[in-house]
Amino acid sequence: MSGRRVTIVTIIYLVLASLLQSLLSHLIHTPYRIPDLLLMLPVLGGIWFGRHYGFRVGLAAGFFRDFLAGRLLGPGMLIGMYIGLAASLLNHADRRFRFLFSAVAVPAATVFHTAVMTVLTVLWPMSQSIPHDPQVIWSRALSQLPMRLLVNAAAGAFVLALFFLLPLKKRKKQSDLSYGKAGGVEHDVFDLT
Amino acid sequence: MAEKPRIKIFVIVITTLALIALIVLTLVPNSPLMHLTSPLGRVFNPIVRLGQEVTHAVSGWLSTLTESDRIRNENEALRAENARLQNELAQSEDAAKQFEELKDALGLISLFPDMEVRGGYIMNRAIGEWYDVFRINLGQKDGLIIDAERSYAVVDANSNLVGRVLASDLDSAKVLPIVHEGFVAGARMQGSHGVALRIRGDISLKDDNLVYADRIPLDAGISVGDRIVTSGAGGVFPEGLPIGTITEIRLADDSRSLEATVVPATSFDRLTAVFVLVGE
Repeated sequence: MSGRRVTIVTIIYLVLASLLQSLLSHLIHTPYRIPDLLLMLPVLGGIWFGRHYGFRVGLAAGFFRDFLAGRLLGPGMLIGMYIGLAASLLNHADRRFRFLFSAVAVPAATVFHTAVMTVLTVLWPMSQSIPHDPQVIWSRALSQLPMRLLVNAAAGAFVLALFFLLPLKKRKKQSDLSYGKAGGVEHDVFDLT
Repeated sequence: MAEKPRIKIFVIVITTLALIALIVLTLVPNSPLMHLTSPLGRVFNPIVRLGQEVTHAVSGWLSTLTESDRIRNENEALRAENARLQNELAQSEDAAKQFEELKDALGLISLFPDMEVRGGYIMNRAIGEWYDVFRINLGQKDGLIIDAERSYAVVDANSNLVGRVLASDLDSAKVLPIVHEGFVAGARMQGSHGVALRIRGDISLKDDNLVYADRIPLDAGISVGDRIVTSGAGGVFPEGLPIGTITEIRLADDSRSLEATVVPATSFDRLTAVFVLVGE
């Protein structure tokens, strides 16, 4: 597998996700209704391509997130890196399991990300002179969660579609492919381990 | 299949520590580390701008088609020509020229003779819930140098307050909008006997694009519909920038002051171009 292709395709993933998220922010003015493609990239990258990819793409996606809208540099990278690493624990040789784990990880990552950001907001408010009621912050986060789960499911589907439409590895000839119960994951275009 | 070595724990620990250091160091105003995003901005900003123009062009083209259907029954030639011209105008307007014309037309320069007015556009709005802010296409190359005591007011074309510049790299800057829960500014009631008060964003109001006014004296004599402007206190915002209109007044929890809900004068839903007031 060409490392250069992986790098180029990953950059395309990142630019596409960032560009879409950036353009969507002009159309959807309530941030929690914007599909979080830059969160889904490390989640699904970790599950489908393993720990190294999850780690790297988590850092890179976090950097893009911080660049686009973060008031600081670093929080997005830190969270992205750990989400990518955690997701890579679900990296399985069998593609069917990866689908299954993706379906579980997308909502789980959404809940985790919401919880982390809410805790950070409670513990580390942007302005110390302004009182914020933790109960209000938590109830707001909870009330937004169903919508976030919904839009992130769409974001997850988009990222998965991207993985299939523009794979990291060149597709092999049909005769060389041997997915399924018999194994042969060496030929799986989604396997980077 | 050869298995790559596992990511060593110490790599994760070192990366974590480096990122925590990065977070702490970028908390410092005018941190040189904010320049880490400058190379990315150089490449990515034109792509975003192109994406915005393509989106605009497609929506313009679609609206032209919709228009054509309707006007075929009325005055096809005239209306189609109008829609086409509007579409062309939207696509071909040069941003810089547009901003210069807008600035002159709206008299922003004459309103703030001691300040330079820099026109820009919003690259993206907040993409996440809590810590995120706007990003605009003006940066340190445009003179937006932020430090502990210096920030800049951001206004719309009608000089209504939009927010303040929070951080900048070479080509772009982050803007904290007035509806964000981290925003605070000194304000006063409009008029010669303007009562001083504080305006701030509030978590429970920001989805509705509303802001919160507090520290209003009980005897202030304010009423719904009164207008609030910046007081000029603190030095970031020049005095007299329109902030919004009071829509609701209530007694504060301590019963010693009033608080109010304010509708911002700027329309965040339609906001695309912004102007940064750079003091001498």
